[in-house]
Amino acid sequence: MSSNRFRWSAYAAPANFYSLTGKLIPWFAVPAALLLLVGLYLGFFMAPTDYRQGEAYRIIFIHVPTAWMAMWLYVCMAVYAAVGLIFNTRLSSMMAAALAPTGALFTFLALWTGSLWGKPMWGTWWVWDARLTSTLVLLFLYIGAMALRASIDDPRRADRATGLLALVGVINVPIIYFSVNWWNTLHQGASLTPKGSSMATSMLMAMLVMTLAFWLYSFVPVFVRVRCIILERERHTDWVRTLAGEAR
Amino acid sequence: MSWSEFWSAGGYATYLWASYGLTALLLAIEAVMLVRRTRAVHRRLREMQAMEGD
Repeated sequence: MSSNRFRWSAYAAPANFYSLTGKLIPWFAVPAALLLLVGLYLGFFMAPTDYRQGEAYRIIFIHVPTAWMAMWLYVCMAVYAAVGLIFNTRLSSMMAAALAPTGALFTFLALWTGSLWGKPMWGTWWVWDARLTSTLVLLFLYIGAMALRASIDDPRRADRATGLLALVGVINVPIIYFSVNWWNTLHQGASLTPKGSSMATSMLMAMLVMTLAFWLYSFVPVFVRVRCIILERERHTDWVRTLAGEAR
Repeated sequence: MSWSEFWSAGGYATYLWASYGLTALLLAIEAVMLVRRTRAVHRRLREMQAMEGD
């Protein structure tokens, strides 16, 4: 009986999640937009010019949030992948699939903005430094997960294979995070540690508000994408048929 | 500070605005792709329903 009940709830989950995410999207989108405006205002008009880096340092107001989100979304993807592998829940694997493109986008932006900061500050677009290299590996892990999923026709088999890849790749996240401590890197160490911050308060505030804005924002594309995936994969179920019927 | 001073970013305009510009552009592209995908999914569902209705 209990196994029957479990299976029933697993089948019901995508329907509930579809309607829940539909309601939640504006509650993430609107605060994200407002915080983005506040963050940009703080970053460009309140934070002072850096005495060594001039105005170029303002790149960090998107570099740091995109880099943090790149790592955070990977951890989320790996957790959903693990839950999907262990409990065989389809919705978790759908969430893992929905997280990958947005995570890849943030990783690319972290590398892009870092490169644009590196050229005037270090004199080079790129170095094979531990942090830069491990972040590039993160981008390849995201792209690899998306490519692997796309290459397998059976969605359940694709879930398992992609889940395994996502799970193995999560080892790269602490490597990125601690790379500046473990190796002698060109990339500077953390500006924000549990012991405190090495930045002016207004700079730190701008960075934190921008990070919060990017974090809230990331729910929006992931929810929109997971809703597409749910409808695509559940199209033969009664609730999707009813939904499509009502929409006509 | 004048607006032209603001946009020139102390000589770092290319680096600064290429960072913010591409971020804005890629987020916009992602949004457009997601809107299109949502529309395509709903269109396919409607077609599926219409075929079954016949």
